[in-house]
Amino acid sequence: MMDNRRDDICNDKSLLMSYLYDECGLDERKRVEAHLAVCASCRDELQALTGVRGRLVDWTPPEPAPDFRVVPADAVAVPRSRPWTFWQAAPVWSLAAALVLVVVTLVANLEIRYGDDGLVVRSAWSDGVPSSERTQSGTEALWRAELAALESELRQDFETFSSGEPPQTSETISSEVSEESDLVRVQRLIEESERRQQRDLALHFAQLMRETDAQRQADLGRIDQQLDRHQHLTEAEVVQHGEIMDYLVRVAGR
Amino acid sequence: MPGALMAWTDEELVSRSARGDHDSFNQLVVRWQRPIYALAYRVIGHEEDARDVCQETFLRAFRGIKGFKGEAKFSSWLYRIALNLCRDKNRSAQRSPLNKVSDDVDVLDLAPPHVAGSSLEDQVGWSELGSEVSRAMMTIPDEQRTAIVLKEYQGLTFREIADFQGCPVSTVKTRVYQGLTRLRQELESRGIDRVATFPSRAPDAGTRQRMRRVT
Repeated sequence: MMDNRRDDICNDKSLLMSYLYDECGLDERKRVEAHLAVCASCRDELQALTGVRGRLVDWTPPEPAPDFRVVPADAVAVPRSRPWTFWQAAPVWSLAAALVLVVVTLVANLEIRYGDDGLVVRSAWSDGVPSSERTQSGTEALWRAELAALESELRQDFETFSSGEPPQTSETISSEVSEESDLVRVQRLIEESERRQQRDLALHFAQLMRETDAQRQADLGRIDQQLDRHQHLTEAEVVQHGEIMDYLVRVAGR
Repeated sequence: MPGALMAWTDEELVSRSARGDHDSFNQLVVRWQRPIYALAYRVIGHEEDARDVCQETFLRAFRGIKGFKGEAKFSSWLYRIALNLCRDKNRSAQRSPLNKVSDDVDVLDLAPPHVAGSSLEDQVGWSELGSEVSRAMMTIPDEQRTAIVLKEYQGLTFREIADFQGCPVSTVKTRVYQGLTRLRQELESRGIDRVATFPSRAPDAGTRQRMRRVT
């Protein structure tokens, strides 16, 4: 009978677990202790497991722990200093819109200005991209020249217009000129202006597209380079870590 | 009636939250985010994922607070949500233990520069233990690790763990036993071969009592 009990405790570890975590009744406790008194193997095992449990105390979660709050939807506009005020935040569409705006601004590096000379949409990265990363430089020169020509044309027109007549248009136009011809001229100017604006817009758009493409190519190249570099770094770190581990093993073995 | 300076109980805060009081829910967040994060970190072994789980746990709790009728303790409910999320995280990650460990390896852990004035041996001894235990824990199967975490750090009984894990009590005991045995082998293979000679620092009765509060 006693032998059977010993075998039970040696083979089925659940009683040993109950004993280890102090979750057994008085009878079971006595039984385990009686077994431990005669079984060196179980005694050693219990001691080793107790040692492992002691080690677990050293495992602490990293700092800092998360810190966040629930923010009511109507309080979203107020900037908060709390790092993780994220949920219950804004409606999905506004987040999406903001995201799109940020992405577009990042990708295109746009400069959008509304001033005396109207709405200006300018892609500004052409100054920021190193010349080595530019592509399509031939076509670029072409449409740059085109744009410059257009700009000077517009300026010229504008100057002749403003020097010829005061900007306050028809009400202050000199009475010597007949009203009808004035009207025709103004209409023509407006039409021309509209055409130019459309052309200008199309050109700007084309420029934007080209620059987006060029930038994307450059970015892809850079991402490739970065990936390569990181891979090398990671390998170096692994080697370094191996060395440190070797050292640790040696120190621990001393 | 509790005064303004008295701490509300979880139950009071839950019922106020269910009536739409965000501040009350935030008090619950402040009270429980660290324990939930610690649980998630130990079960998953990855800081970012643990943060995700922690956030998601409270987000789900916030959404479901009106449906929480108090049939269990609020903390048990939170723990259950967090453990389910941890299990999903572990499953979706499908990281092999060895890869998982190498992800967590940080050379800086081994030689912290901010311990000025102590010898290299001291530094190694000081920082080695936690990171070695952490790495060793990540080599054991998720279910065994979860059972050990719930037992050692949350102070649950085998029956409570069985309830969380949805398995018989005997299975939980086997998981804890196999996990601890594997852990012992791992630590020994990592040069920490004097496990048994260290004084046991298992939670004392007071600590256990404090830990039990969470369930």
